[in-house]
Amino acid sequence: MTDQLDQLPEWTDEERQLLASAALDRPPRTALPRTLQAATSAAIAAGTLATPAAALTLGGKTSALFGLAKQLGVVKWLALVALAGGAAVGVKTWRGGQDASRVPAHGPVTVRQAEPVSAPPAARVTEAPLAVSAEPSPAPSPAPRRATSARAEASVAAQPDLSRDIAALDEARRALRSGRTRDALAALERYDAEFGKNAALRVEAHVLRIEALARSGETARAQALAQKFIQQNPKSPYVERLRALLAR
Amino acid sequence: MTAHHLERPLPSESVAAAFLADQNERVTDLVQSHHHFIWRLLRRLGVRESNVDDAAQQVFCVAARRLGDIAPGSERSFLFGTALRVAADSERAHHRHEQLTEALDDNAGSFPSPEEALEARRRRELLDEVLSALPLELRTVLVLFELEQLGKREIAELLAIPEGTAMSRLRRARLEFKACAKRILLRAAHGKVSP
Repeated sequence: MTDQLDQLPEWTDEERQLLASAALDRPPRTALPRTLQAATSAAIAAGTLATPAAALTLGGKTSALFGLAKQLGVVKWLALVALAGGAAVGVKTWRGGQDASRVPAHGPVTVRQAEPVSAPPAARVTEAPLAVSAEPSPAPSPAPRRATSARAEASVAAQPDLSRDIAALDEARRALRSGRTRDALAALERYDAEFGKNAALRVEAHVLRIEALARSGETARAQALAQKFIQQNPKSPYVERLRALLAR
Repeated sequence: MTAHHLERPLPSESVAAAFLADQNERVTDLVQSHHHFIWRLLRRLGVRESNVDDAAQQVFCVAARRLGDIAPGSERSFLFGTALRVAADSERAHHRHEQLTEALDDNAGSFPSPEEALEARRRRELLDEVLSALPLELRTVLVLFELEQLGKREIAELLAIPEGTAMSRLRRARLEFKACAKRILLRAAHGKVSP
């Protein structure tokens, strides 16, 4: 015995008017950006703690790094991590080295001016409401840049340029997120073909592939790959993500 | 916007960087896609006006910390569930029938006259009172159907109940709302009569 829409008791005009008063319910303009900032730092905190210590903490000092992130302001931290994978370099540039003492030593680290990157890492960060590009450029920067540019040009070729990897995977990620699993899988195949077995982000690509397979209905295959990954990489930050996939 | 590259990023660093960048993107998508809905929901479920912003932040922070548990596509369900819990907690923690302060809100400019703005404000307060008189379960379906104007299937999915159950709940909600509204509007009308 289920109710149908037409069997519901009718509203009177007065009741309708009462309900209509809620039509103007709307968050204040600052609510969304503030929530975004809070949620982003929550994600970073969770992410930082979940990744292997060596990867991000330059020797394992997770809490020092997070404290640093707070001091810099979350948004700058995002930019640094997304682009460079490390905060030490950013600190020297953004704050003119005044926080250098708080950063654990990480061997020879040089700040470079790479050629302008048109790839998503910059785009991704600036898409956020609190755009990094709005940050004022640090005072001492012009001099150091000129000094290192010559050296930078010589050595840029020798550096692994992650921007292209990130751009390639970004396409797959976007496709997956909007449900275009075929496009996602195709993008991932292209990534494998272009960057090969030693691709810098091959693990990320592999996990994306598993998610795409799951989403496209190839559950058995996705599960098998997920289980194998978890077995072989028990400490990986992706384990949680894959476990959630397996649970569905 | 310049890019800085570390001299020799370790493979695990690049994976971690991509991982974090991915988290960041998911969080941004999450907030931009669902913030308004969750904010309105919290407001209408009865969280005090002055606490709604914080409650919404709380919901999204929970989601941000548990991104790994949220399968792509089920973001709204997760946020909805979290918002319900936050609203229920808020109800337990605070008195229900608080007078709303006459805060200057963004909507003040949408009315042709201050009298109309005031009238709308008063009506909104009355609505709050009626909604707060409903049990949370009924209040939720009513808000989703009447105010958010979601379809019965969407509501059933969000609440993880059969459509039939959602509809009978909605029916009860309407009846309960009518009874409470009658009582509260009558009281309000009597309050306006000068001695």
